[in-house]
Amino acid sequence: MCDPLIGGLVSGAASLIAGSSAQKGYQETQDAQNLANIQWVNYQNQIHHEQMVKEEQDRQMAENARQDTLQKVSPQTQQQVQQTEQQRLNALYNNPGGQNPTPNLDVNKPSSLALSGEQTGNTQFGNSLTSAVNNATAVARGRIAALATAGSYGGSFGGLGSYLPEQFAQGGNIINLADAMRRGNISTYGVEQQVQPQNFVVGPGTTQMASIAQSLGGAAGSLISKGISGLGSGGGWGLGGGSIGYNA
Amino acid sequence: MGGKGKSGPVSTNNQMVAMQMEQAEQAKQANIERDARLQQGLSQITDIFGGHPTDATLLDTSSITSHNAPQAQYTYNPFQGPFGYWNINQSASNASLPGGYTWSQLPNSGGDTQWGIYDPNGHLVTSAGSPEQLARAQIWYGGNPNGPTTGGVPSDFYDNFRNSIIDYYMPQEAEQYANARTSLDYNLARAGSLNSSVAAMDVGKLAEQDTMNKAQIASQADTQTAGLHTQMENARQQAIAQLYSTEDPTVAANTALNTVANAQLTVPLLNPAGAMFAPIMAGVGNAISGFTNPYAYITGGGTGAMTGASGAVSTPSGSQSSGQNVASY
Repeated sequence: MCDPLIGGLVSGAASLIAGSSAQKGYQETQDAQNLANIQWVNYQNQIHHEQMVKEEQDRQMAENARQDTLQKVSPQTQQQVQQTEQQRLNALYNNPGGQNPTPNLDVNKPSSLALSGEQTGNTQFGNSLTSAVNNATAVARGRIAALATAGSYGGSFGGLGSYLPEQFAQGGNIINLADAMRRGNISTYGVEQQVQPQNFVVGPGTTQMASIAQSLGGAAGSLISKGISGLGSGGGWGLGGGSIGYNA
Repeated sequence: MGGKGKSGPVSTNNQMVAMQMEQAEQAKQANIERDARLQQGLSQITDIFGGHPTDATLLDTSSITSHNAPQAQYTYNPFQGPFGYWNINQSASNASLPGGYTWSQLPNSGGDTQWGIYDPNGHLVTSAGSPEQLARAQIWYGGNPNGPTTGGVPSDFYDNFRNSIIDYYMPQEAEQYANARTSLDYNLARAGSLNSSVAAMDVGKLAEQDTMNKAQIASQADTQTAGLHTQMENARQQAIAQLYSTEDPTVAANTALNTVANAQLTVPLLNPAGAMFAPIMAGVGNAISGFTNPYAYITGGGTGAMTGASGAVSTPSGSQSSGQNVASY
């Protein structure tokens, strides 16, 4: 029959080995969880950084459009646009074109001014006629210039009434695009944020090893205690029933 | 990982995390495609309405077909990415296009397989559900954005509209002007003041009215043209609104094209011109005063009234009435 003391020592050694293995398993689990947590934090930091970069890009895109629009509707630009339009309208009103326009009276040719039957050979009458048409033309040009000026501030083709809404609309289109992209990015970021960290537990092999170590430790304690009792009944010392192993 | 009897750490939620990360990646890819569609759609609408640089080049997409589609090799490697967490190996081979552009199958965005065109910087330009649809993309590249443009609403589109209004009204104005001059002729001749300073003054007044009438016609034509321009801008905004609703550049582009085509049908507001020339009273006042001035009959032999320099010539029967003499047009 085997000596209980030797059996106890063997069991104790086996318990230590099993316990060490279990300890390693638990440590690996803890390390894996720590690593997973670090990776998750890194991932969250990464997507947060990407979101911030995109947010800034889109914000900058909208800001550039806003600044560009502001430039186009600045008082100086408006004045320039108004003056350009005023010149265009003035030219258009003085020469509307069309397929069969009636030519304006030419003050350099008195005969062209005369009504049917009028004798422009009469110098006095010719001068009077030229003068009258000259005056009329000057008055008409003044009124046309005023009409062009008024139109250039309002709803003519290139007037401020047409120019300004168009500039705001075009700038708004870019700003809306940036806004749509920002909303899309935020939505994507929300999905990414929902990713959970990976969760680790100790594997069943580790648990088994811990259980074995505990059992062997208990047995070793009993056997050693028993063997010591047999060797020296008068000695009175022993290791007790302490178990050696990892307490899971 | 995991398994019966395995020692060490076992992940309890790796499949769920992998699924969450895959969906996050798909959402990210879907967002990239959406942004590309919006940008391409807006660019296309801008091209349709405003044109593109004259020296820009239309991307030749004729080589994009299902037969030569590059095969995608996107592999998901969960928990092995640059942060040890997630990685998508995008090793799909891109097929070349002119101008440094490429096309390939896109990473999975959770839906059906998508195909996309990338610009030389690797940014997705547009996507489609098949290579054939992708080949229909109209992408202009290069050119000076601040230089002259071509395409869009034709440059003479608004001019033609304005001229059509002017051409409608101008003949009426010319006719009324001719009538007014003729009437002035008769009235001045009847008053015997054809070669007088009064006649010159009346001709001047008529010339002023003529010039102002032409300017008014041009002004109204230009205002209506501005209305057409506003209408076109509203159409552009509608096309953009549709783009955001559909996020499909093709639908929005078709809307924009139809709008541009139908704009040709816009009819200018052409009402018949009313009387444009105010009546000019030529010599009538003198004729009337000649008839009504009792002293005028004293030396006239009772047959009519003779007045001064601008005198109205009365007929023997004295039947000339003011109503007949007023030049009305």
